[in-house]
Amino acid sequence: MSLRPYMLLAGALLAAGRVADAQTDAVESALARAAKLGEAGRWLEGRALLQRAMDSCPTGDPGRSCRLRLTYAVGYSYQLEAQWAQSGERAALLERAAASYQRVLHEVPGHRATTENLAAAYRDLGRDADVQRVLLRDPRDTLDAQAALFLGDSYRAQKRFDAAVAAYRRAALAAPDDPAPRDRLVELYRLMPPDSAFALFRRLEEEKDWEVSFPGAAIDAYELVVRRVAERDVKTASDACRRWLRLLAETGLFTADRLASLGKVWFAKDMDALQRYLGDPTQMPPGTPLLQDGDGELVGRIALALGREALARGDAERASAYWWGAYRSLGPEPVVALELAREVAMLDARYPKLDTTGRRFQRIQMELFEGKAAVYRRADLEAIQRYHTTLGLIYAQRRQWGSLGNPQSALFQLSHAVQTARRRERNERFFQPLPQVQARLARGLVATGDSTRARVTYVDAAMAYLDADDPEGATHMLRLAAALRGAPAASDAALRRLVVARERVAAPGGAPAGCDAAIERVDAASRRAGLNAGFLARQRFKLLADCVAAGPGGIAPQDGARVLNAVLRDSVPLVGAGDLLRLDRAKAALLRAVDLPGQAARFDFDRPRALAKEVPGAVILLVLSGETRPTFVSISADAVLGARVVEAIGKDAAAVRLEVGAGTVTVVHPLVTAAVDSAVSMKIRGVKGVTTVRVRSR
Amino acid sequence: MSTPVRLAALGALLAAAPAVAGAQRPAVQVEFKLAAPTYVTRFTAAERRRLEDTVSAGLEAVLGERLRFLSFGSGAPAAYRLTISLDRRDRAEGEDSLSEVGFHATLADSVRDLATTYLLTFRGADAALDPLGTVDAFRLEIEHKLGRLNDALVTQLVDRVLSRVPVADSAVVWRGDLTGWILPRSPRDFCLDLRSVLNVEGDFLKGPLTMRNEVQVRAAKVALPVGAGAPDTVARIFAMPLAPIQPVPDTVRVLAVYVLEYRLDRELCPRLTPPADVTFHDAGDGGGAP
Repeated sequence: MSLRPYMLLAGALLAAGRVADAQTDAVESALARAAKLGEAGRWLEGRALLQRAMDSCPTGDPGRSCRLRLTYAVGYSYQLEAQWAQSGERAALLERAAASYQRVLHEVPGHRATTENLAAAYRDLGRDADVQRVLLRDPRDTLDAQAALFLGDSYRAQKRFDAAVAAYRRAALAAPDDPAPRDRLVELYRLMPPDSAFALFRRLEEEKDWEVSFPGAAIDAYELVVRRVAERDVKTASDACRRWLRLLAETGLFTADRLASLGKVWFAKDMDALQRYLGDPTQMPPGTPLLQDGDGELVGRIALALGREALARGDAERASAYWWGAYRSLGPEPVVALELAREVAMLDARYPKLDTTGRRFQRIQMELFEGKAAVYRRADLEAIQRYHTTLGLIYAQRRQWGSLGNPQSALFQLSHAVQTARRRERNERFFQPLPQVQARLARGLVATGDSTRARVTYVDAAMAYLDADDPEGATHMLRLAAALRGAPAASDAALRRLVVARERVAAPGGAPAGCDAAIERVDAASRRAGLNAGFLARQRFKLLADCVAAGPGGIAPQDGARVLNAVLRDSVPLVGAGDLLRLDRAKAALLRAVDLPGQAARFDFDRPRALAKEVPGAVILLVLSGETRPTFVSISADAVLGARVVEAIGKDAAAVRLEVGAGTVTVVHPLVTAAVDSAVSMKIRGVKGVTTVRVRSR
Repeated sequence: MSTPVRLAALGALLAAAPAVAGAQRPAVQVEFKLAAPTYVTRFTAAERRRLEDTVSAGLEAVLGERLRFLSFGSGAPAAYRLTISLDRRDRAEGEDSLSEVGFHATLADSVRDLATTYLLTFRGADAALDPLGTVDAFRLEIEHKLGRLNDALVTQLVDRVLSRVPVADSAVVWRGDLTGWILPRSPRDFCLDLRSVLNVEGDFLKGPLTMRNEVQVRAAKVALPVGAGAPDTVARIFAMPLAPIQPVPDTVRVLAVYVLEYRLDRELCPRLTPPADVTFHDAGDGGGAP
């Protein structure tokens, strides 16, 4: 068989590719130069340049992309110029922008960026009906956040408030991290009848992410609610006002101006009292119904925040005055009292002149023990751990190591903090490695001569360091363990092997050949040595992720899918930012082979459990250092299915592109052959969750 | 507004009209510094520099998007420098003490520090000395925590720190139905929502007395005619005192205008997709920006 026809074809393709590259370069260059001219206010010159470039585009289909981009750029230039034009010129410029965009959309109906820019131009022209016509034309109903905002703006301008609320909520769903939709919602409620404030308040109660992710918008919303309902509904106004005050304190926005901004409402006296407190920590606000709020938690939070600000400015005495004053006044009942007590006790340890007699510490110590007993009675594990950790840190800072049998000692409290964390792992599936706490505990045990327990604790600490991605720290802990009396356990050797494997995989130069087999060997040895199954699952995930990342040419899609599936299959918690990085890389590799619809490609980090569960799909536990509560990463059902499919088709994933949505997998081949179709389709059909398989050529 | 502004003053106000966004925004260099002593030693100098440069660039992007009255850059030095440093909350503490670690923000000019605030906790006292992982993982953790630099904390950053950067050094006194100042900037220059609060600093002259004073003002928009009898107008920021100025000065020589509370008007400055980010390779699928 002669190769000549193929060589000719290859040559022709190469030449066509070169022409296309040259054309792309010319367009990019024209766009860049026009942008520079625009930045200098030379709009006309910029557009003339774009026009000349357009004249050079090839005719017919080959020049289509070139013409479309440059037409779009002309529209964009008019639209930007309109932003800086005098009033009389603005409308004409926007109309020209719209005309350019319409030309593009005539060729490419529904083109997203063009549609959105056109909608923005119409909005600025006050053509609200046209905004809606353009944005709602797409039958696939795939508005993104920006388009939904424009749509909401157009409804708002027409005073169609319910439709505007729906559009802004849609924008919020499409862009969960963007403050713009929430800001727009609050501003919309400002325009709505006063009774709508109740609906806004209910919305904030129901949608927890306002306070967590958008406290600024929440502050504005609560302030609006207070103003609107202050004279009509005391209870709602009080609730909103308390939340407003707490958020102000927590975000460092608790200022006299803001407190005064509510004006002459019925609780103006409370605001005056808080203003005095702001200026003078000894002026504790009175226990009025608004501020007392049951046990004084609100005033405690305010005191905590103001004291922290003072300490960060280097004013320890003022910090002490806020914390101790609030603690003394409120007593140990409110939840915030524990934090106040810890701050006071640790501050006193650093600045002994603040508590020269030691009486303050005695009182705090006694009340912390009472508080701890109360949370034990309630079996509140999170609170129990917090009490033990707080007491442990206080004693550790005072170098009061004591013994495991003495509750008034760092050893006792830290060991109970670790034990409680383990119980939480069993009961709540909230794993916490606690390397710092365990290392301190081991050091304390050494200092008190309990080398047997110290040895075991150092080994536990070594595992914690491995979980926290610090093999060097783990080695150090194992060395300290080995230096102590007592027979080494089988687990010590297995751990050392694991440390070596982790170090080797993470070292520059990449993973050793046969990485998978090495993981299996280490895993099997660790199992035989009796290492904890959860710990081993976490280590397997880390090793696998580092292994596939170490090879040349980046992570293959099928390897990214394996890593993701390892997390999902074994419900492996992500521990530390290192695991976040591993997940992120795996996702990027997976998305090289898989197209997911809309927001399905997003992995939402740092979501409280309730929010994470709102998204259908999988929820992974995320434990970052220093977090007392777990957060979650939500992964869409489409992404989960995509990972399963890509792992199933293995190496062929590099040759295809998959579209995954709602159980349907479409395989897009660059080269379709019956054999490949059949083999890939067969593999995909067997994957759990796949309902339909389609094949199409690109 | 019925009283005409003096022509010369009007000329100055119009001449200051920038042709494009960002042209008149004060430049602020933003940098991230790893300062906690126990963290500094965990990385090599090259790793630290890479970490600091990457986080600085991220901060530049975040702040540039949210605070459009300033022009942030992370490379070249500027008249003002905003440093976000990761350090012990109480900097007076010893290196190995059990101290919370968090983000401090400090604004400096070429001579001295102008303002500082503690923004956000990175790790509490019980975890501050936990391992940091690789430099990439540590960067991700920093970015993750700085991702919590939410709208309220950005407001705090302006209130306590960035409100020291002047955004204008002149303004024309307006006495009409409303008394205030017209600034040589339009709301669009700063993407300024008209609920923002500014601060006007100047010499207030009353008889023979001159008093340096500051007045908090609410921003409004005013349309100035381009020329006598011309229908065209340009927009300018009109600064109205929040409370009456007492005693009423004969005149005020404005020295500087600051933004105390910034509210971004996203409708005034919508996010448009620039041509460089648009593709038409697979135009039939309704795609657009990648």
